[in-house]
Amino acid sequence: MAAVDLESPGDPTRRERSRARLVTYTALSVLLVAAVVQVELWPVTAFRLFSSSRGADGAGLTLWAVAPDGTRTDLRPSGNSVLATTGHLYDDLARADADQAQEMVVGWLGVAGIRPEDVSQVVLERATWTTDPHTLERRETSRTVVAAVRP
Amino acid sequence: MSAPATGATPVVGAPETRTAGPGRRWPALDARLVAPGPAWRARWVHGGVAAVVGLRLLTRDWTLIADRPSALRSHVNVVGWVPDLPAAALVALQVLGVAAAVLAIARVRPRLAFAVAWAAYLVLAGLWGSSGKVMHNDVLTVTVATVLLFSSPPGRGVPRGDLRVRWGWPPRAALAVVGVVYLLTGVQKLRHSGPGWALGDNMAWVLRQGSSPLGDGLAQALANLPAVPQLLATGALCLELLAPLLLLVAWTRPLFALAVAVMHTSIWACLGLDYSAWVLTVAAVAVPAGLPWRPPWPRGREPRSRVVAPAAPATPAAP
Repeated sequence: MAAVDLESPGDPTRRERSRARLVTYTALSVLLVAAVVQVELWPVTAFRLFSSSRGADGAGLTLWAVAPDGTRTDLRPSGNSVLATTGHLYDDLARADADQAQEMVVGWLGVAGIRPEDVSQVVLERATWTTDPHTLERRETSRTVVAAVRP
Repeated sequence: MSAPATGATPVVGAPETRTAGPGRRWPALDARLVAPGPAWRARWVHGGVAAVVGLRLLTRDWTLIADRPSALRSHVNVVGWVPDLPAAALVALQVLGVAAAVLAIARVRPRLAFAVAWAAYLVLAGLWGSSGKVMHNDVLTVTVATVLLFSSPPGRGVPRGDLRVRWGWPPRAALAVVGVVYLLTGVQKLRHSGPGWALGDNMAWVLRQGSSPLGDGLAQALANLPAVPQLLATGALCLELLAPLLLLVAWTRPLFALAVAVMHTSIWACLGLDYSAWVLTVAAVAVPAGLPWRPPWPRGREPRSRVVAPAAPATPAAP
């Protein structure tokens, strides 16, 4: 039997059904496409929550302020939860141009309460480690300098 | 801006076999999406999500955003165009959003009020999460609220039992979004880690490396118990993958909300991650959609002249 639409085009119920379909299927399509293509444009996200497997081996970036006498201070922000997550921008620091990198470094120094003139350079290092499952002690397996910026 | 009930004949639609559009491909689900629903459920879901938005706006110190140097802000999100705001502007946005959420719950210009609360929440949560890390804490609430933006919540004069398509689809669209979001979180685990995510040592290491607000003893103890990390991970993964099915059936919806609350509470207890907005959003959407009875609140005016109930609608109401 051929499909017949018994509702008139101006019927508010028909309009409401069209709206329901448009809104719902568009929203679901955006969610699915973002997940497949791995889009991260908040609040559009791929929903990768804890999707990577953890193990004994790990890696991480550390940003150090190096004083003229060689003293090193870890610049990882703590306390304020907004500032703390800026540590995730360390990757961007390695890719940033000179001016942008300097601005970022000065920003982190300011958060840490360190004057740029008291620092000879800021060094971004990548370390890898392995953790003992019983003692939970970490043993560093490598350390490389990713970037060095003079503030 | 809220939708009145007067002047419209209660829903009498064409049989679903005669509908056009996406309904041809997914006839059963599409028929359920566009079936009539009661006004009280639309009010509960709309008001519940507005309450979650208002609560999130109220309970966070948004002025912390102003402490972040401009150079340490990521602009890769939908609010990347918003300029850096001083603390006073952030507070003003917070107050505006909370006031709008209260108005939406009280059904005073609910559609406009909901949109204002959503916009304030979107901007503040977006700015909060502009520090390089993808913050998922508020994503579910924002996404569900985005869908509800396009709905017309029942006005004060609409009887609770009024049955229409316009009251039916928003709760179901919200359920669909919640189900797909949880499904995707599960699928991504399988996609990027495979079954080993649940069956291997992954969860034990997650517990060992986490930071619990209750002290590290609990997480460490669970991590070292045989099979417990695998059971926790498998349970979480199954809950995520089965979310669309659990939300499809009316009586399992409150159970899903309960299971989600247990899962996210255990994540908080073991790892210190706050996903309370997800718990509340799921509760706001799934519980009203799964209630077998009509709650006595909020009351709507009963019509004086006629009973507004559909006379044998061609499209039956879906749960």
